Amino acid sequence: MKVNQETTLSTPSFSFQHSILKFITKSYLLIFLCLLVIVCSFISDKFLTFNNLSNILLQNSVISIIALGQLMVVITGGIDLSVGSIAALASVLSASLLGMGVDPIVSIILVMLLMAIAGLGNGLAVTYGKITPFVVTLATLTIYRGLAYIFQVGSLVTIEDRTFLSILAGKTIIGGVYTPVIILLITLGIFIFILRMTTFGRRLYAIGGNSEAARLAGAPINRDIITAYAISGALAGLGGLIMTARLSTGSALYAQGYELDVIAAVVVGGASLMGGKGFALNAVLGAFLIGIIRNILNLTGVASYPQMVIQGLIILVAVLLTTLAARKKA
Amino acid sequence: MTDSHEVLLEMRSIGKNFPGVKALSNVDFSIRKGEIIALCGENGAGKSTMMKILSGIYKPDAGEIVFQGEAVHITKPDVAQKLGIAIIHQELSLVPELTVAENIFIGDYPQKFLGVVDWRKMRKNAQAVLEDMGFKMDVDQRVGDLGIAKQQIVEIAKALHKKAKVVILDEPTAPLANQDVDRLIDLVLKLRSEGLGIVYISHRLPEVFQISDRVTVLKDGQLVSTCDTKDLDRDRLIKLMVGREVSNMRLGSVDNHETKVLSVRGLSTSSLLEDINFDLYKGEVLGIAGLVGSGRTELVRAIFGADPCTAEMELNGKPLSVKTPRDAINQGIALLPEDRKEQALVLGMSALENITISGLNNFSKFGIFNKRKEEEDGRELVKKLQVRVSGLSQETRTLSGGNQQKLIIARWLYNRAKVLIFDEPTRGIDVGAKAEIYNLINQFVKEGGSVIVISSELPEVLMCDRLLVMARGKIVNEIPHEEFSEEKVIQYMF
Repeated sequence: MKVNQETTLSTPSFSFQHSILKFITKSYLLIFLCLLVIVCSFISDKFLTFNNLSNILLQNSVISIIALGQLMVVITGGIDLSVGSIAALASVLSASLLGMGVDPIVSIILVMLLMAIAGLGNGLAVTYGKITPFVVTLATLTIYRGLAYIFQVGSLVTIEDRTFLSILAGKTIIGGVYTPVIILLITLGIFIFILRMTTFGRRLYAIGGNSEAARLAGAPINRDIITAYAISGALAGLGGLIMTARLSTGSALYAQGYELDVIAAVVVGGASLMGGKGFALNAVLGAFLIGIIRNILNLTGVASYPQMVIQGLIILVAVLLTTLAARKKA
Repeated sequence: MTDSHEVLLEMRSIGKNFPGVKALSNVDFSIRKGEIIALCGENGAGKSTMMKILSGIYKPDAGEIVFQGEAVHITKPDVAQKLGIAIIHQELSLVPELTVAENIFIGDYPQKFLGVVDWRKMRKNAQAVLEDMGFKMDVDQRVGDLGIAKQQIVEIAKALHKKAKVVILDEPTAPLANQDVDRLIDLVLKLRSEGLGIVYISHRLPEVFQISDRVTVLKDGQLVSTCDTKDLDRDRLIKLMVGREVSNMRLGSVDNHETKVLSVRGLSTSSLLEDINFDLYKGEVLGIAGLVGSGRTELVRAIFGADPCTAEMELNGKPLSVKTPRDAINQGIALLPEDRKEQALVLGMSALENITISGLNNFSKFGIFNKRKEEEDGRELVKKLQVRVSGLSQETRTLSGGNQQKLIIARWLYNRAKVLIFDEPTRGIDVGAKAEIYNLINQFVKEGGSVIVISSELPEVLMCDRLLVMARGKIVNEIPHEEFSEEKVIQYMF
């Protein structure tokens, strides 16, 4: 073998400046979020109140949970437009199950399983049907919403089951923090673990980065993609269950247009819709970034139509910043 | 012979730094009218960086560019195009869905009243450009339906139509079969006779000697030498490029190979392959020669489970059933495909992730792996194979061809593969790294592995222990090492 004086692998240099720079590029969203909180607290004295903060946490938990599922699909290079409809379907189904007297915990598990199967359907159509994810989930967006209306059979169903309500939208020992926030934190923890520490998570990135290379490297790509859609379905179902509990009502009208909010959160969180990129924490931060901005606009009394314009602009700016940062790195 | 020619373009004391790397320093380079100048050097020597500066993709940090006597600032690709500098990359920049004519005229379709495209004129002009080049082609064909050789012609036609004065060809012959190479070389010579300045980048040294007037050699971002080709020979050029001599190598060993590892019987596919039978022995390097389209790539893809086939296969005497690449990998059979960027590497992932992607399963419990262990193993492999990376987390996209190939070898070693199948093991890899890849192959068989090598380069297959020659989907001959000769192989290939 060639005698080689070059260093084949330089030892990592731990210069202080370098590590600060690395920290900034890695956690720019967190920094941005902190700045946003500071700015908002100057704009409105109602912002940094206990009630408002508790409200922000609660309101954005559902979006964040669904966004985590979406992120998984987006990492494989896909997209799941059906999450809002799945959430509504979960809502209606859980209400009917509880109405029939099924145990609340069994209902929750059963509904999440069924929603995983709904997601599985998406995955099957994408992998074995070889239909593009956008088209598949655009179709199931209508199908699942339609099923939700069919199951609802007319009127809204009120839910009185205490266990159900306290698990999914109850108080916790920490004042002002409700169970959805805890559920989000647990889900986030699991997702960070899956995406960083498991072979499945690693394969998702490989599939999104280059699916043919992943296949020839032995990744069971169809199985992995189907699993990602199933998980997205289950989490959309969980989101729907939480909404149901918060309003004590099952309804097919829930989560209209949520797919777009969720995709916005994932994209603001730096994931690429081309696949292969994205982090769990960032997707949640993305959701909260949008949520906080919406909150401050509400507090300052900006009307809802201008809010829509501002929200759209923020998505564009956020994505622009992310791509600029990525380009600079390259 | 070229001294009297006018200098078209001159790059003076060009320097370019990337974070942590001096890609180019103080490099002079000139292109004269009506000459072919070859740019040689190992991967990472700075050839691509030079050409990217010329075509406006990078801005130089130091130095100046003088084009036809005037200092120019090529700040973006548009500027280069307007000046008449065209670069033909290895990855062609054609739109597969558009026709030949549309691709040639892309960006300035001839127009009639109100901006309506003048299709008739476009077709006629496209035909004219191609005929000037000495090619006849249906200009209404979708470019995506053309073979790679013809696509290249279209790309060159596009440059000529844009009135290019300098044409840079980056590894133009790498993806081509032999007869197409000859046609391309004829075309390049024709362009020279029309007064264009041509920069020819190639790892294939015979071509460099065949067509170039001058050679500029770069090494580690610095100019080694520029001299007339007639003053050089192969050995001297290699010495200039790598700073050492590369002797003729042998792949595999002279030992008798007795233990059968893989045996293939009656392998057929629906499209091309017909009743393929062969054995692979322990410690052996088996070469497969054949023209593009002879079925060599199809054969190894079928064995690897990448494409469906029917066959009776045995591995170490036990029946082997391979339906997917996963099955093959689990049995210790690994494919290193020809197109590494498309079929083997996830370019956006780190070097480490590309090494461990396949083997990680073996080192995980319930799908959970140990990150620290992964890094340790990766570091060890990188060291063992001498992969030149700035760190394990370096993005694979930024590595040279040789280092990318080493990553894939590392991947399969990590996965404890017993049979490595190389499809064009050294395509796009420079001379120095080539020798290292050969060494790795030898080391692998010495440790008890078996290797199949497919190559378009005859010298490469002639280094192997034994050779199968394929033509039209069949194995037409098997030649033991003692009886190797180029004539014999070529005779069966056609």
